[in-house]
Amino acid sequence: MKAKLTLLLVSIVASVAVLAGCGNDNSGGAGQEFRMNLGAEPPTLDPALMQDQVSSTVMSGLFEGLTRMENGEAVNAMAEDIAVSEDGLKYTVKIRQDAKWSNGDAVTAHDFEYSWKRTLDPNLNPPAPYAYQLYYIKGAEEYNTNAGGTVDQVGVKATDDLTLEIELKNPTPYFKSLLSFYTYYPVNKAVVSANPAWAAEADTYVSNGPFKLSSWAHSDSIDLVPFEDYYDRDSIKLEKVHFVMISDASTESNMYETDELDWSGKPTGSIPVEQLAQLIQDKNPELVSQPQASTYYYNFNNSKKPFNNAKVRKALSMAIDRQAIVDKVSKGNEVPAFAFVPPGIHGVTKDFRDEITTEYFTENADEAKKLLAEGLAEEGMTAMPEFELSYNEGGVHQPVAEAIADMWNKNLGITVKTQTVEWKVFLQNRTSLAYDVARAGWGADYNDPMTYIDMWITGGGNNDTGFSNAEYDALVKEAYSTQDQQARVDAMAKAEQILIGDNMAIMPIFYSSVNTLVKPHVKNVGIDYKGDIDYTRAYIEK
Amino acid sequence: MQPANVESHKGSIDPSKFAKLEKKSNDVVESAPKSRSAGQEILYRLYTNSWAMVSLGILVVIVFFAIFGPHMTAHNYYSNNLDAQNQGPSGDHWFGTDSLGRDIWARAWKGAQISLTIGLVAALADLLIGVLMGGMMGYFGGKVDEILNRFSEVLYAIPYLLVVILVSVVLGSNMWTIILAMTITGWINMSWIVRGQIMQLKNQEYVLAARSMGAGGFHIVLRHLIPNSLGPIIVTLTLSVPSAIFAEAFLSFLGLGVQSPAASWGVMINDAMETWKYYPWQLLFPAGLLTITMLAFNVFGDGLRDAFDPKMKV
Amino acid sequence: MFRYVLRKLVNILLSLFVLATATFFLMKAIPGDPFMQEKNVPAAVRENLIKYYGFDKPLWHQYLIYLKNLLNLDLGMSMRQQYQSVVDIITRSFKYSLQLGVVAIIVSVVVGVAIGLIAALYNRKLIDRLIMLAATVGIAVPNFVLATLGQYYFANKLRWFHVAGLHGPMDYVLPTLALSVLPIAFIARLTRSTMIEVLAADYIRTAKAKGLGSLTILIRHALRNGLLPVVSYVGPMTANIITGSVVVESIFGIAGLGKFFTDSVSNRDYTLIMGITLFYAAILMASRFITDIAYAIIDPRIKISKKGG
Repeated sequence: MKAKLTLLLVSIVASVAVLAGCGNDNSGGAGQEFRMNLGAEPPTLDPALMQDQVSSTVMSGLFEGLTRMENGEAVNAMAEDIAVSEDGLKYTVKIRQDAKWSNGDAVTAHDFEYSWKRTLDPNLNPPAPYAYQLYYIKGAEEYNTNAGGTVDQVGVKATDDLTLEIELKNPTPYFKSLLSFYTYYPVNKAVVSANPAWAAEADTYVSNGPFKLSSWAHSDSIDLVPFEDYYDRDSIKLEKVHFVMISDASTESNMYETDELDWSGKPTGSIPVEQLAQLIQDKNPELVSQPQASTYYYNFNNSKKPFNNAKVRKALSMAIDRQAIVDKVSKGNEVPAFAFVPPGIHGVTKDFRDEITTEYFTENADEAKKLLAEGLAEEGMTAMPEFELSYNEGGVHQPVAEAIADMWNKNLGITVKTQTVEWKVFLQNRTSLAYDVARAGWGADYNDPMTYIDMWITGGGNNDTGFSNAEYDALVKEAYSTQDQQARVDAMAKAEQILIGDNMAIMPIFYSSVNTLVKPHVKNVGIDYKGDIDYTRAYIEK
Repeated sequence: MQPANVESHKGSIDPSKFAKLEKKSNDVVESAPKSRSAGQEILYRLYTNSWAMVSLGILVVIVFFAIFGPHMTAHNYYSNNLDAQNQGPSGDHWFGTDSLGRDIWARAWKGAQISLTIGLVAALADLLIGVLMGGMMGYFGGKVDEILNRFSEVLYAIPYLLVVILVSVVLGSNMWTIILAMTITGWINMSWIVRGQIMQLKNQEYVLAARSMGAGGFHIVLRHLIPNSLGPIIVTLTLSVPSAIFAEAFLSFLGLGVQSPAASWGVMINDAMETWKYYPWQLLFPAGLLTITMLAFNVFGDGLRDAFDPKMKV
Repeated sequence: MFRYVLRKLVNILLSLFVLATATFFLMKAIPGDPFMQEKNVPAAVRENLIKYYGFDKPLWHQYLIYLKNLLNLDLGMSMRQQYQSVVDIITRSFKYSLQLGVVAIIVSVVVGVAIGLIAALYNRKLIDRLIMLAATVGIAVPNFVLATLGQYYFANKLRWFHVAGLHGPMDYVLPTLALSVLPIAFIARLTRSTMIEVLAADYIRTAKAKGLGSLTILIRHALRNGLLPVVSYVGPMTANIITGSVVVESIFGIAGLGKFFTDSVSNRDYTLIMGITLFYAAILMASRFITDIAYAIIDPRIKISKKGG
């Protein structure tokens, strides 16, 4: 009887376990299809509200500004011609006549004016977080911050359907490339003013780029298909771009290995740390690695004893082995950093880092020990107190912190507590200077050293170290006031000398790199200096 | 909703606790008559249960290594050695090394100290609170039940992540705040299981009989109802220790777990999920130790319960 | 009975109100806000955002506004996903979590009870030991390890399943396994533990003596009395599983509610945190209410609607 019962129960278990049928098709991308991982749902596909790389990766296919970047140079896109005045303050832009919106409307200068002013509107619904990217334009900041400016005083005006006049606050040598940035995208005035939530779903979405939004399954996938009336339609070879939203790195890696993805890794995906190390070691041909204009560094709390002392900060910075960190801990083709501005940023004629080769400091454990003792003595201390090195969860933050803490311990004989902190708590602590030493990273907003230099001015919105130096502030001002690139670069190099060489306000660790796995059949996908992807001209060759 | 691996039921298997309950469980109305004193009888039954004895032996060995293991090797658990990363087990590093070249033997036993302490203390706290609250809900019923029930549900539904972040910000991270964060909601599952048991048992003949003889509420709960709910309580406890151990690893991402370079089994297993494809021993040793410990706990727990309850001798 | 249900309903609504209040102040008490990023926005832009969302008002004022909206059944818009309402997000993602959850619950209960019963019937025999061994391993090995290993071997190496997504029936297999191994193991242990006691009880012996068939005894007498702890566990488990598991959803790329909930906390997406919390609590309370009714059905001696004790 027992046996009969058992048989019954076993068969129930078995039938549940078997579940559904079987068979599995791993259909590779059909024809001209490019598949990559966004890692997450884009928070928005509205140019005004964008501020992140996930959104911009999708949007770079959907929208196009007055210029677009090609091999690091800004080339005309929606613009047919851009004339710049002698003083570098006035831009007159002719819009190309054959530019179309995906609903058939013509792209006009009015769309640009409307879009930029909409982004600057302090009462936009909700307000645009990246509005400050437009502050180069005269009157933009005053309008956006309610500082007495009105919308009519903003220096952008459509004088007719195809002519846009832009007035700048300061001469800005890199303004043409800024025009390709997503905050400078146009929106269709008629569509957007009629439906404020136009960017919520695929069926109300109107764009002007090489692709249009064919489907948006929220938090699951996004599909783009070519826009037939795009002026440069002939250059667009892909028939479909398929984005998935997988947050787990090992899942992404499994999908790549089973041919469910053509692209894995940066800018929006990730390759598991150890796997990347293996790929590099094996010289895997599908791994593409290139420098990224992004610096990984530690903030010292310059307002807190003993980190207020430059010698203490220098000692800490000199007592670590950066080469060992990139070779054996972060293991992703990073480059040890001894300055703040990373390679890949333009100087006068060459790369800024190739022009400014000053060695701000060298690693030296013995020297560091001496400096530390001196610094502590200056602060009236006899020994370095135990302090906390904080970082958020994710990436290589923890192993790097553990390695550095161990190096400090061995080379300086000090005790460091490493502490993971929840992301927003971490940000809050950093902004309010409630930390000792904290992880930080900075990627370029635009291709000029200024994107790294002006953040450290006294009271700067991203200066979360408490660093304040009058000479530094003056040099930044000087660089802002001139169009002469040599003078600008000189001023910024002097500023960097103050920041790192004299003060070591922060501790540079390494310059990041972009590591991606690309299937061999994928051709002509571009990655720019800051790691952004351009798949618009890609094609599949099997 | 419980985040990550905190779909948890926490509690612990603590032999001393059962030793106390055991005396009370004798006067449960039942058929088996006894000759020896109850304590001797139970010890004897436990002693003759070879499975339970083997498990006890394993637990003793694990505790022994948790205390002395880290000192048996020349390597400590925190020092990096970037020239000896990811090495397999060898005569020098018995369990191999991790990605920063730290000795896994030392880390695994250091981790045993931390994980077992957290698992057992958090589980014990859950057991005490859970049984007390569940007992009250189930026995008194009515308003008491309604209020405690609602209270536990509200507490259970408050986003756990928010609670953890608040605890970490206000109280900082140490062993006690970790256990506190786990206990705030950890007892609830236990209390619901106990409540259901007691609701069922309290209407059975022997309880009604005890009551008619004038036994008080707490007397009935402690002497009759809880001892007869031991089965589900012990099973719930067996789930509690590992879930507390993994909850700790999860909390460490939010700044409330054991912080590096100290290791715990949960954190070691979590970290190993990055590397197991290439260096399987980094997953195998902590996960294997955890599994063996849990097996021993469970078999021993079953043995204990069997020893308490002579009905089990089918 | 009707009055009983009505009273319960009022109590549940009251609890939801308490929960909303507690969660509101809790989430405002922890550091951070929705607008903090690695790159800070300028102070003036931040001010615009703070004003727009009303965070410049005193906390009690914000609370009253929130309550007012709640009474109008307005959960608001997500602060992270632009132009998406909280209700839309919950509806959309709950659909995925529910589909997967229902399968996982059925599998957990059926398999768990079945193997628990087998173990109880063969108490202390080899098969019992093997089942309990497997169940302990199932409890000791966490679901993120199972999910990761399962995905690698079965989807990547053997290619039996897709790596991620829920697009066909086969896609349910791996996530269901990852979700159900722990509940199966737990339910099996729970069932075994109570069934052993029940099977040894006098009334089962009496029934056997009366010559009733094993199956009848098992189903009519033993299971009834032995399943109560399982029922106690299944109530909250149902609420947990159908509202999604962040681990399983992240690994298998499922756009479910569990992941949204975790993300909403790390993004400090206040409206979404509140929305999902209330939604989850409603399901939890409902499932526990049903559990109580199930008690009374399983064991008529349990009186749920009258004062006990």
